[in-house]
Amino acid sequence: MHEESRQKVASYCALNNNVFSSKAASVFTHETLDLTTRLLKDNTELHTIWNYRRDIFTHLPEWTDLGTRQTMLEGELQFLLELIKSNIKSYWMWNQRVWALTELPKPNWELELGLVAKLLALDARNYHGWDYRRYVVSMMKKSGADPSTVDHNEFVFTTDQINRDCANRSAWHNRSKLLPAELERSEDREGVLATEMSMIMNAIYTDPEDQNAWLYHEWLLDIQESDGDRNRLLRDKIAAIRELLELEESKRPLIELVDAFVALDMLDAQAVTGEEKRECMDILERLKSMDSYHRRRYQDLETQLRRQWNTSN
Amino acid sequence: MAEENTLNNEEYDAVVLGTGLVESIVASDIAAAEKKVLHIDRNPFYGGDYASFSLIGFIEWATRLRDRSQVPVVDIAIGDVEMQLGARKSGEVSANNLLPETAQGSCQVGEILAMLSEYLSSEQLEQLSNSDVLKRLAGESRRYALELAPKLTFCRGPLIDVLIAAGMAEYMEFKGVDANLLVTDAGVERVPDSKEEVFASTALKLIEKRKLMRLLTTISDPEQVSKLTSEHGNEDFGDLLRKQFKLDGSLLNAVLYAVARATRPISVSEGCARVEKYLKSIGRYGRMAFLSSMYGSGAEVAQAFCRSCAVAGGTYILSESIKQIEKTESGYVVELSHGRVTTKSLIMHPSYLSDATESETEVPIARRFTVLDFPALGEDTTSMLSFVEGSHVVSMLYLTSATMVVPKGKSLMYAWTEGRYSQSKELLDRAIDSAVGDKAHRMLSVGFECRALAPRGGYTCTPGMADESVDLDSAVQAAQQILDAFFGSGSNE
Repeated sequence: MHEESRQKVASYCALNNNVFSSKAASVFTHETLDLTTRLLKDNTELHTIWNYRRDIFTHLPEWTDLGTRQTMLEGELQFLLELIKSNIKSYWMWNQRVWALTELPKPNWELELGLVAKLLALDARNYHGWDYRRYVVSMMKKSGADPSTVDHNEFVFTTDQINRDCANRSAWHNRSKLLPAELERSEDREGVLATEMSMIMNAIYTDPEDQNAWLYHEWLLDIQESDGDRNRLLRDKIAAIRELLELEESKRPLIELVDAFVALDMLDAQAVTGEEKRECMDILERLKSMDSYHRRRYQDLETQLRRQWNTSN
Repeated sequence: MAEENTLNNEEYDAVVLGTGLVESIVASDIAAAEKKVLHIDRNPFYGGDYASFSLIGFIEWATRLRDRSQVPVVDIAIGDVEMQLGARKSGEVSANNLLPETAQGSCQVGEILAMLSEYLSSEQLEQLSNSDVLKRLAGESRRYALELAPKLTFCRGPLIDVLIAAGMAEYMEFKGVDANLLVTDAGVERVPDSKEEVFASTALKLIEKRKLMRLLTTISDPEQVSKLTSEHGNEDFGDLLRKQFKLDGSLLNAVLYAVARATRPISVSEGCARVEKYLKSIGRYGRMAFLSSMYGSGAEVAQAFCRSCAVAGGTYILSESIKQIEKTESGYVVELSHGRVTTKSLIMHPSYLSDATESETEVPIARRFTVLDFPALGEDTTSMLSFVEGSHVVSMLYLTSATMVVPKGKSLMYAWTEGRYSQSKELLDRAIDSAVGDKAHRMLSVGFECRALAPRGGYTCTPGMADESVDLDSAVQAAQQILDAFFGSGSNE
């Protein structure tokens, strides 16, 4: 080890020991607060020290003065922002940020939403970011913002994110959470559903192996009002898959085709023809050799369907 | 001037004639290797085949400075007044008689009229001197950068690598090319060249999205590309796209012409390499594959190389004519109008050989550009376009004040294709018409043909013209070949 690194390690250990012994002795002063600042800069993952830091804050005599508390916590948010940028996936820091905002006498949620949008621009699929975004949105609604406007803006935000990257699972997921309210708000339920369907189709045709849109489609089925609508959605899906398969045979569309027939059959035992059932068996047979890792899974489904549909070899 | 004498009998490691992009890269690299370089241009401007001019500068080039063996004819239309700058009209009014009358308006207008007068009938001269369009053009002459061979820079490719390695990228300014467009009968269509664009496109049918994505993912995967090229490498790329990837119509045109830029039939290996290069260029500096340099393309880049050559000690002389070139045992003696120099190496554009003739192997390039009085495809943006008609492909560039080549509110559309100008003029016009429509907005329209001059045996010559490609990488490769020969192949890296 280099002399320089050796010194670094030594000073880190000294600082670490110092902070932990202060914690053990329940010392809550400005000095110990500064020590945690230094230590956390070096190691953002010391969750014990984040906990200790919160204790220090609340034990400081100024804590009770709301004006001073506002300044202190705004400083904490700034400190966290710098650190989060370098380690966007740290649970402790997001946790600390939520705490600071909860304790803040006058939190600025609009500002937080802007910050989280910036973080998501850096890393669009970061689930901490998305989770935090949902938290901020819920707080905005609690602090008086019009809930339907906030939700609608969030819905539009997911559209933007999906247009930017149609494999953004977090965006699809969040959209699924927001859609029911969007449907309720809209006077044109059919129109909203048609847009969703076209988005799904676009994603499926862009990348059929990506599972997001397939999942979203399944979920869209669930919230339909009638079996007639479900039937129609499934037939649309089957037609799309047939078109994809005509161009090129690939795994995911084949699996989805079998799934669609199974779902159709559950809605209405008469809906799936004998020929379509035989086709399913045929596909499962092909999948077993195409995707040998999941051989057993296809085998299992095959056995189950044979029993259910009474088809023989 | 004192310099006149200092040239006399100087000895150089290399004398480079012409300041086009290829010559400038060569000069800069040789100077960087601590060799003594003399870099000369017979013209009063930098850039050679790639030169860029103010509006008045362009008229001056067309009327007085161009090499008539390389560019035999230039068509110019200012507003409604059309003229052909080939043979001069004799016995017409001399411009000098007319000057006092127009000079009261603007001296730039007078300057332009003086240069054009010998190609105009007296009625035309009268018409032009009263032309409002000419007044507007001339008044903002310096805010135009009109180029002989406008080009773009790939975000990932030899040129950008050289610019970064040499530190030149730090003082050059680039803007991203916002769109790659296919010109169709219905106007212009954006070429969906990335997954996001494919997903978001409203012009593509669903199945087309799948076909296109299939191609893009195949070519992004080196394993699949090597399989394709080993099985079909020498077959026609267009055939592969049609048969294996089932592309047709404007989707085929988009891939084959707008992305792979197959202005002539290309092999599967070549096609894959081009699409791969394009795809790799996306995402380096943003969502686009190309950059456009500010204030013009090739000439700006060439000047950046000249600057770095000068910094490394290279000597520059513009407006210097070459009287004679003599081959000796140890190199060359070059007789210039300001003296005589000897050099071990001589590298030149073929137009510096007094008896250079048109190349028999290289197809000439027909070029046309027009200045429009409105931002036809959007203000503050840059686009590349392709127009396909049967087997003819026209490459186009749309430029605006985004790259400071026209005043705000105006735009510039270039179009070029391989072939004789006389046979391609209408094709180029149709291309421009389809992209921007309405002729009424054209302030200035220019057309000309660039012929490649053939080098003569025994001399190291750079390419005889700027080629038809849309990017500058071929110039870097041409320069590299010359440099490899100069330094001895392999010794350079």
